[in-house]
Amino acid sequence: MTVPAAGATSPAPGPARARSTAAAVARLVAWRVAGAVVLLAVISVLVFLLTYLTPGNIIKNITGIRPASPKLVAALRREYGLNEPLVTQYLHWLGRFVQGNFGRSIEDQTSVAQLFSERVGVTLLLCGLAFALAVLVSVPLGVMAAARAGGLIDRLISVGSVVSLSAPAFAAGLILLYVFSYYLPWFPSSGAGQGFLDTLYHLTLPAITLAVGVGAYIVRLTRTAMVRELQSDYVTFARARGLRDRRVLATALRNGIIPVITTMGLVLSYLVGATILVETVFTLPGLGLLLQSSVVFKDFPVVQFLALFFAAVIVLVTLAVDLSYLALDPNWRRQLTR
Amino acid sequence: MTADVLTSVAAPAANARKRRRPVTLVTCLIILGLALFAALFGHLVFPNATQVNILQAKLPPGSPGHLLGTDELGRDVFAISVAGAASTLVGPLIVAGGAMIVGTFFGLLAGFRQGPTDFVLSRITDLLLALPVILLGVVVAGLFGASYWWTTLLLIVTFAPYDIRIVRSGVIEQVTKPYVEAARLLHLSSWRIMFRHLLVNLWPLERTNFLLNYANAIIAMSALSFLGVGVQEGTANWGRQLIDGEQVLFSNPLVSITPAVLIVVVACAVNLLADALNSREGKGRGR
Amino acid sequence: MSTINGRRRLRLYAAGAVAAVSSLVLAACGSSHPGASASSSSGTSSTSLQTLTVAAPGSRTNLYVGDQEGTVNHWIAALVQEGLVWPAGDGTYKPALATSWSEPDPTTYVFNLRHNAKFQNGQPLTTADVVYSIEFAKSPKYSAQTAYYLSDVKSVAQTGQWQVTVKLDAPENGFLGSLSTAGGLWVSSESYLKAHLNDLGTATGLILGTGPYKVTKFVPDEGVWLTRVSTWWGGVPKIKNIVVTFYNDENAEYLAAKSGAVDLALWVMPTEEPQWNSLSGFYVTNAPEASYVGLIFNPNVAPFSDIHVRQAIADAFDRQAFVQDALKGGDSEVATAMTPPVALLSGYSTSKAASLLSQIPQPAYSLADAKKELAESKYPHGFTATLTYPNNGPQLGLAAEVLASSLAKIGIKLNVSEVPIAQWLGSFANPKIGLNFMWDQLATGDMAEYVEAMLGPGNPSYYSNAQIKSLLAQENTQTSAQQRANEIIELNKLADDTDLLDVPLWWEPVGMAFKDGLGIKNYNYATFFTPWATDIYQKG
Repeated sequence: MTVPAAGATSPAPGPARARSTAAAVARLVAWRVAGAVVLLAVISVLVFLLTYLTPGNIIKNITGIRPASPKLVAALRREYGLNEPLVTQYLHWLGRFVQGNFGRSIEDQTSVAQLFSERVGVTLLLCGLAFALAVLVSVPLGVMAAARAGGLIDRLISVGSVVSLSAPAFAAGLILLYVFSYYLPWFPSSGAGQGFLDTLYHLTLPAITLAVGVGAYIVRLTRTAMVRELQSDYVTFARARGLRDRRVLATALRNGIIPVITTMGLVLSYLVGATILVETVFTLPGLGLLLQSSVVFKDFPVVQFLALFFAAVIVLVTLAVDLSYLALDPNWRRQLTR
Repeated sequence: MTADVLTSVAAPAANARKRRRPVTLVTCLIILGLALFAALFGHLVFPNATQVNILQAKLPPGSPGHLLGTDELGRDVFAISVAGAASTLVGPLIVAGGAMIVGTFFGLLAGFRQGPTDFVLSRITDLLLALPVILLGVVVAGLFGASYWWTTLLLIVTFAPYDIRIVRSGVIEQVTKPYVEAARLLHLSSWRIMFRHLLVNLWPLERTNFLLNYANAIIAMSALSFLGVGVQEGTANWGRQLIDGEQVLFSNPLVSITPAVLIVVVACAVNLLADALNSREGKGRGR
Repeated sequence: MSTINGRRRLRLYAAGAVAAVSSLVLAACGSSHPGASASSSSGTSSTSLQTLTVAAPGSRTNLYVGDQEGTVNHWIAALVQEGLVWPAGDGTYKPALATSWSEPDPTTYVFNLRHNAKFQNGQPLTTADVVYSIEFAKSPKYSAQTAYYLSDVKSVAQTGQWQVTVKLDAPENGFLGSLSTAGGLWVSSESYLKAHLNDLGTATGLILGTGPYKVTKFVPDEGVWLTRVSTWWGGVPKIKNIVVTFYNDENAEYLAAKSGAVDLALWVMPTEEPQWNSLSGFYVTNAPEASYVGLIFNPNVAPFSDIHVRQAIADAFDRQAFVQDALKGGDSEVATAMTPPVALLSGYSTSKAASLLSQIPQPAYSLADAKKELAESKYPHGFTATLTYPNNGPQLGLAAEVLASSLAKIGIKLNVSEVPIAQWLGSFANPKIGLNFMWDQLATGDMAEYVEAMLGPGNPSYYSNAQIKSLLAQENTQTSAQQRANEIIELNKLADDTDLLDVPLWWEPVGMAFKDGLGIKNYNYATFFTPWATDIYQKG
């Protein structure tokens, strides 16, 4: 429920407006899909180049610490097409990729698709859980801090969120392990478990670790947005009209939601790529460890695939956030359909 | 009870008009003053803080001459913490500041101009968000080694897309408001609208984000050091000490706890100071 | 439900959450703990050997050592697969799949195989399987990381119903070790290897061997699950199940042990030993001198091409103080050479070997001498250099920092940087790197294990000369163990003093942390390259 902005023009009412909104959304999505294709192509080139620039020598990584005969080195170079110019190597990879052949990991000698499917479940579940925890705890805390701005609760919440932000993931993870796995033996100390519920159980501490690290942004930005909303005239008017407190807060939140949703989207984008530290501390077979070992090994089929996967996730999250602006802000919707 | 709460929700400034001693403000100022002093003069007060003294490695807290004990290389924890203030506090300032400048400029452009400008800028932002930091870090390490300033630059590139998106969202929220339409009707130039009018209203958002990024960057400067980029082992730097202290976590936990507490205290002081200053400003306007 | 109560509840909840988190953070920092460590999440009680939970440092993504070599990879594979022999830990070899062997001439080895060996799937071992496995292990395509061990093999053939003959290109004294799982051979069935050419060692392909345990599950980066089999020729092991969990964070591993989730922690680093020893319910047992740490130079790269520079660096590190203070409580010793006394056991007793090795001219710590050496070099005003160390060896990082701080006093700026282990291993392939760490472990136990690697063809110093070559040729064909030991000591002298290619720093033990109720028979550096779980027993 918003107070209509003074002077806002209203286009055709009812069904006509709905039609033009739907058209605007469709246009938006179409453009984004086109943009995504270009984006993924550009990323694949950039990541290919960056992998090439990574220090080290993939032949040496394959042959390990022992000396390798020149014959072996030559054979390996032939096998992995390393004698061809970079552009040709890239195009070969691209040609296979678009046909659905995602290649084999040079380090593990397994198909990239298999490596990915073995780990994506754990990573997505972990991120989803962390995201849900972060949002469900942080948004209310931010609202509360704003509602009592300047008071003790506000300060405590601010301090709490800065504390959680300042602890690097491994520190938070170790503290949680100490408290909830050792001191209070409630949770397992490592591994991803078997079966859906068991995995959720194993992922609880890691998810809390991740949520704690990013929650601060949601808390503080929600607070900032809310403080501003609560200072607005319409809040005073609503109060004066006798609206209940909870309704006022809910309305203020709804109106100030855009930066909050943006932050939530950014948090989700960040989480997907940031699981490595948590995977390290809790021994989780996720995509973070896979990406790290592939980057260091110069295992470019794996690096390419993972980079494109993360990019696709970012594109989807960004699109969802931008669509939510349309859904939640009628003024914006009006502007776009004008 | 209801009346109290009503007024507090509707007009926090009114609450603040009650006489409240500026305890928070003063405490924050003292903390930040000490931090600044340590950053500027730490190397003078403790010129030998980073001196390796292997004979005195891993002494527990309370050892003679070492109130907080020593770390794995025999350096006094208190001395190296004071000496580490400069490295800890300066780089992240530039990271957060750099990200804010980039974010503000491109976020304003994208949100205000919309259309093709927004489309291109947003896709570039998506690209930066999607580039794996580990890959970038390893390449930077390979090309430039563990350089403090190259790490700072890397972190600016890593943080900037988040700032761009947040500023852009703030602009989107503001751009439908009447004052923007009014400014347009007055034929004010885009740049003027963006940087004079919109920016002022985005300031609270920017400030909150800047401060959070600052705290985040302190840790990030050392977080990638295992890849060879960022502040390396043995450097006087709170983030680095926190990580190095892992090795001696169960012999002298203060090696990790001291810098952790320092980072938290400074970050909180900065955030609470900003809040306190803001509410004082609000008092004056008396809505 | 009035709004007042609702809000108060919300407020209390939030305040409680914040307070709880803060107090937990503060409480967690306190080191006291309630004493009662509850039963581990793996369900092991210390009186039963149903399941042995093992903590392994670092992570692995492939079980076949030929695809991913690492000391711990060898240890895990040793439970499942076997070679023709095992290292006995004193320079000699014990029968594994070969019951006896002979050397009719220096380049020919004839092995008589066990008749009753079976693979874990019930298939009996045939001679054809052994021949195929050796070819497979020798193939640079299928065993890229360990093919080197068998690179001198000219031919392998079945020469009898249970006999295999291996012919070499040139005599190689330590060759037997290469045919063990400490070296480069893991015998599997021909049909299995052929069926899993594309996924051997992965979560779907696993590994098949003749050993006492079979792999039931492998989750790369998480762990390996093993179950005993009744097909092993050595008998049925007492321990029924083994779960190996990989830990990337040493403190997470320590906490897991504290909570009772670990029975055995593999390869506790010297810097971690004190805290494991002080962990109630655990003790550390050491295989002394099993691991070597030193500096290695590439004398083709300036400024390390100048022997005075190398000498200056050697004189700038106080090895005694480092071992005593930085590695205190860890049973490490200053290294007088690369090859430790325990490796020369077949030639000399440990004490005799130690005394002979200490007669090699040693660098004495003296900054004054170091300064003098530098002044005599082509770089009297110093220079800047880089030294990298792997992120799983914190003790190397400490040494690097100590060295850097000493060198700074004589005008050399040493930039120290930590890199991922794969990158550090890869740095040996870079001929432009003049200074590096060398960190190696005894595996086959052959006397020449280190000198072959550091001075033989393809060595990481990119250097050789006539003297080194001739001594290596001599020790490769030498029949007297004592003479051979003398030649190897001579090679160490060339490397550490005359040509100054290496600066030995310290020998550290390979330590294993066991729960108090468990013990291991005859633990030495070779034990974990054999089916070590069969040597673990419950203390009465």
